[in-house]
Amino acid sequence: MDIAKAFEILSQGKIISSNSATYVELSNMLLNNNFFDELDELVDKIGYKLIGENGYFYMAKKARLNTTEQQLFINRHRDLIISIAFLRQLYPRLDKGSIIYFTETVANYANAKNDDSSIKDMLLNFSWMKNKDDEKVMLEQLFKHLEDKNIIEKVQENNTDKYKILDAINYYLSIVDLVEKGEE
Amino acid sequence: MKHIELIELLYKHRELIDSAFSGESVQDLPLELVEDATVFQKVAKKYELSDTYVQFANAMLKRVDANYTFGDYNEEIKLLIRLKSDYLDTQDKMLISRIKELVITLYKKIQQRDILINARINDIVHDNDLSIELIIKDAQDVDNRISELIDAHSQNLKILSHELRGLDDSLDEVLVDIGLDMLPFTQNIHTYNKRLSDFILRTQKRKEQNKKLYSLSRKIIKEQDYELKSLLLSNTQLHNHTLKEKKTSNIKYLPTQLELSKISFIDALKKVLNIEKVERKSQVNKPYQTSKTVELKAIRLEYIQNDIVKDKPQDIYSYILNHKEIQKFQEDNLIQTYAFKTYLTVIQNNRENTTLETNYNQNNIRVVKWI
Repeated sequence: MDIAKAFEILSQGKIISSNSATYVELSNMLLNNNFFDELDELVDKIGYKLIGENGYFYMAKKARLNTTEQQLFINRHRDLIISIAFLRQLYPRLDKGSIIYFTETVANYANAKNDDSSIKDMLLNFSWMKNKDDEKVMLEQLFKHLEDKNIIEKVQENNTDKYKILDAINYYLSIVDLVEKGEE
Repeated sequence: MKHIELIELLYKHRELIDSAFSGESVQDLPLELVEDATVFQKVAKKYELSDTYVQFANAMLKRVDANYTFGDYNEEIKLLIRLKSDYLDTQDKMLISRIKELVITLYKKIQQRDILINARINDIVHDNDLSIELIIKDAQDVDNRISELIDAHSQNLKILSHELRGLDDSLDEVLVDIGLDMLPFTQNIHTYNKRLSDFILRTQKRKEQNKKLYSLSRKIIKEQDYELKSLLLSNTQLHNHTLKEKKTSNIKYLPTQLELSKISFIDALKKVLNIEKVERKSQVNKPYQTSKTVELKAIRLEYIQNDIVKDKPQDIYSYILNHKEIQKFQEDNLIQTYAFKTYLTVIQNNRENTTLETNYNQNNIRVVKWI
C-alpha cells in the first residue's frame, strides 16, 4: 500500500472505516499522521480535502458542485440515511461493530411489518430497487447497496449471511444529529 | 444416585434439557428426569425445569436471573458486631472461631456477588432481544442498586478492617488476608457503576438518535427534507461526496477541466503516481481462413457384407476391424469407432445369419458368428 494506491481507493468516493477488514491496511496507514498529512497535502493541490474523524476517512471537494453533482450527492446521502433508519428500526441498538445476519433481518422485517406496515415504504423509496414485489430480494439489494457504500462488510468472504457494521455509519448518523434537533 | 450417574443422565437428555432451558415447552418427558433426579418439576400438570437446576445452570454459566437482587449483607455485619460484643463480655474463644467462619462466608458471598453483578451487566449490555426502553430500565435498576452497594460495601470494609481488629491474633491474620483479597472487588464495583452509567447514556443517546433517524427518513420519503439538503449543500467541503457521474453509475472523484489546467495538479500526480504509457495497438481481426483440401471418406458397407458372406468369420467384430474398408480410418484413429458401428449394422441387418456367442473377444465385444 502506497500513497498512490490510497489515493486510488479514496478517489472512488469510498468512506474507509478503521474497523473494516477489507481496508485494514489502508486505515492503518491513514491513522499514521505523517501518511495522512502527506496524502492530504497531495489532494489539497488538486482541489480536495482528506477528512479523518470518528474512525473513518474520506475525501471531500473544496470547490462548489455543479447541479448534477449536487443531485447525486444529495441522493446518495438520502438513500443511506433511509437505509440506516431502516436497520435501526429492526435493530434499535445497532451501532458500529455490531454483527447482523441477513436471515435474521428478513425475519425481523417480517415481524416489524406486522406491527407497522410503513416500514415497507422505506424499501420502496429507493430508486435503484428492482423487483418491488419480492421483499426478500429487496432486502438483498439493500444489503448489497450498504456493502457497496462501505457501511457493512461480510465477516467472512464466502458467508453471505453475517455482516459487520462499519465505523462509516457514524458519518451518516452525525449528519442526522446535525439536521434533526430532536427533543434535547 | 451417584454424581457420575447424574452427569450421565444429564448428558443422555442434553437436547431435551437444553430446549427446556431456552424456554420451549417439553413433551414426552422421561420420568427419570423427575423421579431419579429432580431436573424437572411438575407445575400445574406441565413439566418445567426445576428452580434448583436453573439456578445451578445460571451459576455455572455465569448468567443471572433478571429478578435476582444483589445483597448488601447488612444482616451478616450486624451479626458480626453482636458476636464481637458477646466476645468482649464473655471472652469465649468459641465466639472468635464463629466470627472467623462468618467473615470467610461473607467474603465468599461478596466474591459470588461480584461474579453475578458482572454477569448481569454483560447480559444487559449484550441482550439484543429486549426493547431499548426495557434495557434502559433494567440497566438503571441495576445501576441504582450498585450505587447503594458502594455505600454498603465501604461500611462492610470498615467493619472488617477496623471494628473486628485486635480481638484475637489469628482472627487479625484472617482479616488482613481477606482485606487484601477484597481489594479487586472494591475496584470492580466502581468499574461496574461507571460501565453501566456509560451504557445507559449511550443507549439513551441511541434511542434519541433512532427517533431522529425515523423522523428524517419520513421527511426524505415525503420529500420534505429541506434542512438536510441545505446542510449538505452549505458544507460540501466537509462531506464525502460524488463527482462526475459515469454511465455505469460508478462514481469517481474526477477533477474538473479548470483544476486539470493547473500545473500543480500534473506535478503533484507525477510525484506519486507511476504513469505508464499505454500503447494503442488495435487488434487485427482475420475473419477469413485459407481453405484446406478435405478428404472425404466413407465405408462401403456392401463390400464388407459381401466379404463376410464369403468368408463366414467366427468373430465378426475382429473380422471387420481388420477389413481394408475400416483400415482406411487408421490415420484418423477412428477404426474402433467405425468398426463398432459397422459391426452393429451388420448384425442388425443379418439377424438370421448370425448367432450371438456367450464369450467376449480381446476388445471386450460380444463374439458374433456368421452361419
